[in-house]
Amino acid sequence: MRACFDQKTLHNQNIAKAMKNFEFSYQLIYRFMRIGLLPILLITTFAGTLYANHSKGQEVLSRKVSLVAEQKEVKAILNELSKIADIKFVYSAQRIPCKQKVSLRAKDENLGDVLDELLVPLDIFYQVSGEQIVLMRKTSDDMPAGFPSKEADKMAGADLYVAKVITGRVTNEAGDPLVGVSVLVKGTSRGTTTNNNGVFSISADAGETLEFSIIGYRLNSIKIGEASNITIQLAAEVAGLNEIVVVGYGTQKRTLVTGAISSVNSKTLNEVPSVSISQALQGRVAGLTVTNNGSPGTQPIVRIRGISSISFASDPLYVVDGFPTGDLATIDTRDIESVDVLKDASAAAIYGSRATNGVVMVTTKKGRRDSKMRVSLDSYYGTQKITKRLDLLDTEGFKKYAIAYTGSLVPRLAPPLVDQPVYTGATQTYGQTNTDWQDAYFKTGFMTQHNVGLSGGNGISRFYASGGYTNQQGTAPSVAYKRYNFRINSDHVISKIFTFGENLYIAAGDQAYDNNETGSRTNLVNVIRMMPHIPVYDPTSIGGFRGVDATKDGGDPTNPVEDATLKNPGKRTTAKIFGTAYLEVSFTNWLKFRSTFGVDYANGLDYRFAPIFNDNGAIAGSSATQATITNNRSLSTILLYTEQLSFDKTFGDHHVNAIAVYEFQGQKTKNENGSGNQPSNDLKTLNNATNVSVQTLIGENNLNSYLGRISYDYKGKYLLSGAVRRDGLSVWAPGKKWATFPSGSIGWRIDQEDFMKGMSKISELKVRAGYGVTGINGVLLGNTPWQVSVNSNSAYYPFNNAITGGPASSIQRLGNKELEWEKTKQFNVGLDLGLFNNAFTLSAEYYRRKTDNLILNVPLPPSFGFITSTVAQNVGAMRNNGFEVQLGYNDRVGEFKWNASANMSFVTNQVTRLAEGVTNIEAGLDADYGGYNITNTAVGQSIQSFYGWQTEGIFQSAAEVTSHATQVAATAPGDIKFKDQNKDGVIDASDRVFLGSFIPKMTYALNLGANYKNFDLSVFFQGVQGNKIYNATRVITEGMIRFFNAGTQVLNAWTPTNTNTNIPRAISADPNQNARTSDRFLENGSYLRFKNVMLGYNLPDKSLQTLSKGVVKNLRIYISAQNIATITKYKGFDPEVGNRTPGSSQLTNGIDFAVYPQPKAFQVGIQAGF
Amino acid sequence: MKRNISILVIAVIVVFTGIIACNKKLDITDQNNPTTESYFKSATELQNGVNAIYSVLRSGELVGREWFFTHDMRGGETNAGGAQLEAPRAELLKQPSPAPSNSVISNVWAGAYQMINRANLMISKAPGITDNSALRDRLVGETKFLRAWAYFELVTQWGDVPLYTEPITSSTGFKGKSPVAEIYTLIIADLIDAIAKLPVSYGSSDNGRATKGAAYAMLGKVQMQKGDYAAAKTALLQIYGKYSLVDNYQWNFDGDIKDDNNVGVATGHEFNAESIFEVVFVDKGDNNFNWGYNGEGSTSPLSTVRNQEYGITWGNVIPSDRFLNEFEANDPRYKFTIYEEGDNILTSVPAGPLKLTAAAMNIATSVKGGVTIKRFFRKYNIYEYVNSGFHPGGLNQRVIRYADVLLMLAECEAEVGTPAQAAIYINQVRSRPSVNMPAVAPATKNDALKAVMHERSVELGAEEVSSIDILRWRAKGYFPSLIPDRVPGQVALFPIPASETSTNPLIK
Repeated sequence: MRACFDQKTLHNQNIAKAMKNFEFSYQLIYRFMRIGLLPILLITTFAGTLYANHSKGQEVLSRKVSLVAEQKEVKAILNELSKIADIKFVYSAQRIPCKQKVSLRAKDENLGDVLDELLVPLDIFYQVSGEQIVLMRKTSDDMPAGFPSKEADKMAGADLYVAKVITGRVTNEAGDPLVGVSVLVKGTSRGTTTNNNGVFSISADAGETLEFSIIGYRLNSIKIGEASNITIQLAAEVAGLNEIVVVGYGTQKRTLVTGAISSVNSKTLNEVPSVSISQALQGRVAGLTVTNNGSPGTQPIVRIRGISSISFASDPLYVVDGFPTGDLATIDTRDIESVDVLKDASAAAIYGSRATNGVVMVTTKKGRRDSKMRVSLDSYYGTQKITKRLDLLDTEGFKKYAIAYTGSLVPRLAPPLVDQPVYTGATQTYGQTNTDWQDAYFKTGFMTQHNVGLSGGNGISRFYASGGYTNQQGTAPSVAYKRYNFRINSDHVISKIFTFGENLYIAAGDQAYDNNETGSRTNLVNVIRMMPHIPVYDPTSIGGFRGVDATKDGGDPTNPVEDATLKNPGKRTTAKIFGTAYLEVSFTNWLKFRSTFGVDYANGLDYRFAPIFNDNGAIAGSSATQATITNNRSLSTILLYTEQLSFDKTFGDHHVNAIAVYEFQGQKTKNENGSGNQPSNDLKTLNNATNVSVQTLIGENNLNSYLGRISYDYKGKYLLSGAVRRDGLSVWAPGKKWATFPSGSIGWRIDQEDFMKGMSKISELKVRAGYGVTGINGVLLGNTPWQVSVNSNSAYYPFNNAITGGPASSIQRLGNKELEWEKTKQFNVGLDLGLFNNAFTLSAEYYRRKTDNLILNVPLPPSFGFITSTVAQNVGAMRNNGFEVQLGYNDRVGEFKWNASANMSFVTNQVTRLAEGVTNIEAGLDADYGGYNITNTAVGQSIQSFYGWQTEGIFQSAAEVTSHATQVAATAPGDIKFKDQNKDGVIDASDRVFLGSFIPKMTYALNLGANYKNFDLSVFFQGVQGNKIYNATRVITEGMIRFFNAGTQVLNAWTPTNTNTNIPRAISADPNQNARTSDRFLENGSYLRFKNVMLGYNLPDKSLQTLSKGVVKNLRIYISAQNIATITKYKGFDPEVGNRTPGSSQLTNGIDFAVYPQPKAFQVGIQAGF
Repeated sequence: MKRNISILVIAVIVVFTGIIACNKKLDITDQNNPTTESYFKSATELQNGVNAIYSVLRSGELVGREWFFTHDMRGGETNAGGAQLEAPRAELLKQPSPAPSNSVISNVWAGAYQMINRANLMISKAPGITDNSALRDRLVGETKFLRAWAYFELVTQWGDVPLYTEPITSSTGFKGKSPVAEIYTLIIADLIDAIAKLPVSYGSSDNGRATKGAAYAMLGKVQMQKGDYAAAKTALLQIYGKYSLVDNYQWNFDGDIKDDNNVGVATGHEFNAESIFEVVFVDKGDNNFNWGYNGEGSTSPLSTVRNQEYGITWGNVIPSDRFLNEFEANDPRYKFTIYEEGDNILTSVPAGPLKLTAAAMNIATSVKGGVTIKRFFRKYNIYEYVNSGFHPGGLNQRVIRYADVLLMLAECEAEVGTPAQAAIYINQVRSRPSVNMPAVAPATKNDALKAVMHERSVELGAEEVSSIDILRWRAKGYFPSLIPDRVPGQVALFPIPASETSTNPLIK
């Protein structure tokens, strides 16, 4: 009798190793992250080691035994113990000195202690496996390759149960050992894992089946025959057949998923350098569109399956490690393991009232349980530059334009001023000055990110810790973003029953921003309008910049460089602490309870200092005689409390998974807004300031939820899932606080059917369908939207001329106690297909979404007597229908491996009902951009469609003007001819028509990756097709509404001698309103962007070994570039046009109010493992 | 397993305790403001609510700006200062009637109903207040006075209008138009109740609140407009002799003035013996105006742009030729009312006297007695003290003053056929020390009426009474039998604003 082998042995060794590793980790951590994290780490890791001695088998080993043996054979003592403690010993008589005689005395002692006393002197280790204790002699770390099979037959002792001991080795397809593979005797609780060399040993009888499983590889099983020594290869997951998908309150095998869920892994997320997760998701998921918006530091617009609401921004719900949170901006993408996007209602409805716009589930990294310490370094540096330029007038051109438009040169470009120096002491005159304001404004930015990660773990504890640093300097003055962040995720197996885990993230963000950016005259508008004969700087002015004098320079643009750097820079600092801790109780292996507590704390400070200055100009805003300080603080604390009971059990062919959850999430906010003036630029705080104005506001909202989900599958073939969530939200009026959000889905894995067995080419085929009801986050409406508040002391009436003589309190709006969640019903059908062992995969979805009770602000008669002339009511309806395809292919030819993935999505949007009295909702009016609304939301049209006049060319003669419908009295040759749609002979507001939509008919992306030897290459294309952009920037460059600098197009304006042009005549004040909203400025917004290319090189193992003496395990260096080329017909800076006020629904998407273009960027980076 | 069960039991207890604790947290109300349920529970809070009716009264929608346009553009006393007069205001000058979308009338309509809705809320809340019933009753009196004032504005300018007497609580609580008679019934009932509840006077810190005298004067005005001269006379006689004319005519249009640097440069004569009800404005010296229009904002300006609109920088409104020629040749009130090109005016900021030159006046010319020069209103102006491009004023707007009451009494006497009695009242006004115009002695009813018409025109010029007078006299058929129509062809009533007809299904 020989082979015995064990887990306790391994276990003990592992603990010893783990301790060593942890010592090592302490030092490392101490070095890397001296600040802050150490105490937390110490607590968590100690927690792990403290509990390490209690482990599986504790129950068996704590059985009490009494025994007296004087010089008895070991075998006999074991026999005796076997009876007393009701257990079985498994060992090989060859290896264990069975005949050796020993003495032993025990009175009511733990079996474990007795065994230690008996076996340790004999160099024997033991492991508890169910009701068996396997004995094994200590040899070396490496387990023997096997035992001669005949010896197994010689296992002795009729009084002992001795199973056959199977040893073996598990490798991957390349023959490398796989560590930590779980080996289980099917249908029993006997199991082990492979050691560092991929070796395992387990007792099993012939006829039993061993199952081998590890994440990332396909499950394999083998039936025990005669052989007791086996080698098994596991095939890597090709397209994630056994991939685990995060579904909300749990995970699911991809094969069993019945909803529309797309996943993105860490590697893909980090391919394009991005500050935030949302940017990293661009083009990665069919049906999820990301539109970069504004200057660096501004969050992009993320939409899943179109726009679901008219009044509110349709941002998805973000859930980080189970914690629904609104803010992803501060989270380091390098810490992310995976992102799963729940797109359809059947998947998302588990988040009920907040799920209409889809759910983005973010899972952060965890350590591995392989007793190895890993250190990773991920670092890059890159530059960013805006290369696109508009053609703007230089000084000579500006002169020509001034004569055409105003009839004369501006005084500053006519004698005598033209020959004056631009400032006292300057050698250059106005006439000699030719400022390129685009070059003056745009600058080269850079971006660098560094992340050091540490991870490790064993059977007891595991952790992932990281520290990150991001620094992005924008391509425009004053805009920058810096972030320091730290993370520690760990979990600990306390005992067979209890597991404890926690995730903690701390980030300090520092965003420099330009407060002028969201106004209608952005800095880019002023870059266009600023006259070229004005210098950027003026050393004789207070502040050092130069502004215009409206009477001398012909107009009143502001100096954009001055605006950005002197007048309007601001800083937003945010400290964020985001953490969850859970305790999991495993009552049995099929019933678990988990209690989670989380905190999301953010402390933001928005500070601006507008100094005293005088730029020697003469327009509004040319000077300030007092410094203005703005100091706005916002505090938000969100608490989360989740109690979850999970059930997962297989009954023969039936598998049931069910959860029941109670959840509470509450937010408390506090805002403190202060401002005041100081008489000196040296005084930068509100200390003893004048005109101090202070406001504080508090807010609170709470969400209580009960939810349950049950998933059932029969033979893994027929899938059924249903969920229901009941949410109670404090935001609504009493009686409307609670609502139920049900969902259900079914799936059929056709490939599992017997009739498919012969079709080996089809590796996966599944159809699924789901339906669900979801809501839009009610907190978007504020904390008490239904309630009528009294604006107390919000005004004064000056009785007896005393300013505060009569404090006045009033109610200013009508409440609506009937207000409730906008609810969306969604139906989804999907198909998953895998061919040739999943070398080719296809996933297709079709959906219909319908919202019946959109909240709109319904106008009230003024005779109701409220200042607020509308009341929010659930009255509108809208639908979105769409189709999505995701394709993947991978292939290998020798050492050349390549893969391709593509996704496409199509969506149509239609407004189906507005309120009574609300026939349409127009938006986008801005005097600088033509003075008419630009979009119109009306029944039967897609939301916020472009709306305006159609042009019919330019009037060439007075006769043409008279024969055409009347436009305005001043209409003359050279003006634009607008189409008389209703043929009433007058061009007025009723001649406007729908001109198109900003929503692309199709969005798509293509990703190609290849590996050859140590090289890897990936390229990424992304684009949109079939949308329109209202190029409002062209209203600025060629609209000629008021006199400013302009684009070179204005030199091609119509004149009696220049009639072959599409630019109307240059005429002061645009009397014909040639720049009114019309198809003149509407352009095709389709584009295809070469978004990213990345070339990487992995240093060969051998050279690494020699170079670093084994310290560096892997090292990859890469170079990458973004936004390399964009194919588009669009004439503006960038066809990726967002929304000027992205946080709200202003119904102005797709209007290019001079957006910041996406910069071209280049990086070099390294990724190393230690 | 036993242990697992006890763990399970403990877990269940913990969870349910948590659930019970958290479920209570759904009842959250606005934490920054009180609610209608929690507020207006004490007399002090009720007073704050009533003050909010006054704050609408002073807003840009009403007396701070648009209200004087609705009157002055239709009273035959003004003309456009030039092309700079904005289109909706110019449209009111045009005949016969503005468009329903006219923003000036929409604002006055909205402002009047804001006063009414706030008043209705206060009236509904008052019965629950017991801590100071004397104050409560006085506040109800003020509220009813203000509601009556607002309805009078509506009924005189629009005729049939929606009649709300309860606060609005539902988005479907629409009211259609009520006949003029019903509106008058409410106005008169409100004023009678106000008379019963209001004090004769207040302590000085409450200067500006409606008094019993204001309610009587208002009742007289309302009855007269309704055509009940006897009732009007009865009401007005209640305050006859209780007020007096101030010696200096100009003390009716002055006030405290600050310069651009927030330094006080003039003290006026507001709340004087002649003033019966005035809307209070304060020059905070911050050179801003409450452009939000709604009177809101605890730190917002409390000023009026009247001096800007009728001044020489904006130059939107100038006197009409008809009005200029109404003055008798030697009437000192002409110079008190009008500035002319060539006048030397004392301007203290910037220092020194200022001679008004045509070049410095951004206004059109007018013709008086064949002389075409530039003229503008001196009444309610601040040029004597502040000569600056933009400086909203703090002069209180006298809505009813005793001279108006005397002339209303004169009109009542004329109407009931006692011209001699009418002359007594008219001559009281004419014999004010600073005016000293010779007495009139109308022999007939018509002569008496004509004398009243003339006297109201010159005494109360550009004080937002002429437009109402015209409606009353036109209805009596006095144009052109007694005098030519001051605004011939004018449609008596404004159209209901489009903002109302598009949202109120009961009014099309």
